[in-house]
Amino acid sequence: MIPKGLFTQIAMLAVAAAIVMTYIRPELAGVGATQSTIETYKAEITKVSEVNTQLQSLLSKLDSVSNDDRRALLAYLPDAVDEIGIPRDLYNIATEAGLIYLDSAYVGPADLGYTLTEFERGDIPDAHRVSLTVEGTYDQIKRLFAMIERSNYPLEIYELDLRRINGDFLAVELNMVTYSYHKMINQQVDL
Amino acid sequence: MPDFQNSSFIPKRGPVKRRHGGGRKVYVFTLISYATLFATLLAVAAVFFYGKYIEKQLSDAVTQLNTEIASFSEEDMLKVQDFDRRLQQGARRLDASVSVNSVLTALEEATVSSVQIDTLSIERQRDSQLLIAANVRTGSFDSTLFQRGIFQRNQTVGSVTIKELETQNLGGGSIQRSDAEAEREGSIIPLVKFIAELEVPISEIPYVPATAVPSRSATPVTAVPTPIEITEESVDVTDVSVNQNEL
Repeated sequence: MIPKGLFTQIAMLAVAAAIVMTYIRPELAGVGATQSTIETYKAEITKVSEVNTQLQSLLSKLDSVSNDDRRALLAYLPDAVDEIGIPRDLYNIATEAGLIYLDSAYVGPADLGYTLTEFERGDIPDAHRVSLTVEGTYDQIKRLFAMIERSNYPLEIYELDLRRINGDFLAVELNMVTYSYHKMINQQVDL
Repeated sequence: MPDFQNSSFIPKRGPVKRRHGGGRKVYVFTLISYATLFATLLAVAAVFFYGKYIEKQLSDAVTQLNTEIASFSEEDMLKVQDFDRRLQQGARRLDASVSVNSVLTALEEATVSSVQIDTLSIERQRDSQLLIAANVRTGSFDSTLFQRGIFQRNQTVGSVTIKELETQNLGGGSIQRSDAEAEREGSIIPLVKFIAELEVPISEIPYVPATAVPSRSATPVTAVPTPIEITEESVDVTDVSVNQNEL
């Protein structure tokens, strides 16, 4: 026959063991998992904070760009080409160079053979063809080319035909390419 | 004499005296069981409150992360990306800028005096090279060979091809033409015609914004300019603000 006191003590030990197995151990496991989750959250907080800091830094640099520089960039690579302004500019250039202006026109979008991937990466601007036909002397034509090179926006000469008409008089037909900014899809931002 | 009739025959003993302060037995197992139970109860309380503390930490971390995410502005990011992309595209075109004047200057310096260029065409192949085709006429095969050699030795020109060679009156006779025609055509009587095709890498003729003429040029071979390759000492570039492309 077990003494009453011994039975009570055994029962106490059993209860303690049951409490440890049913409550303390599972609860500690849960605390451990929660701590792991907290570490993960802290790591993500650090990453997001770094991104925010870098974005603010870049934004500061962007804000530090002067308005003149912004205008120059927009003039060099506008959102869209001016289909009337460009022929007018070519007329002005030809006249300033002393040439006889015959014709200039905006031809349309140009396909220069770039791959779709290059466009998707945002590396290539949109190309547009323009033409110019003038007559003049060799010196005037060189002056024309010099002024085209100094243009506020790119006017790349893709085709040039130079032939003599009479004596020192030459005829020039130019097919040039200018560019507009290629915006990525679903991007509407004002500079 | 003692009265034996009213007393017990069993001898009486005095009151039993208990000994105070005597040793009590403490069993180890009893201590262990009680300690275990109390420790368990304490552990339960500690775990409970620690669990609450950890939950609060998690809640704070979640709140902080949400705050950081909310402070991120997608609009600002798009703005920066757009500006950067525009700069990249513009820089790429700027790096591929070509000076056509430098091509003409190189041709001037590489064209011998006995050679005349009737027509000149230039075709750009994206950002790789320029293809130049010149209809040339000269007075003899020697001039043709000499001109080809000059082109081939030119540092700017990548490759030279002479094609569609035509000859006239090379059999010793002279062209039956009037003096007026000869005077109109110049002092050179066209006897050999050919097309010279030159490939010029774009990297050899970059546009340098500071100057209007290229930095590289071939060694001059003649001081007598031909009608189409009139060499000037300087190109008078008027600094005019054109291209008022206001959008």
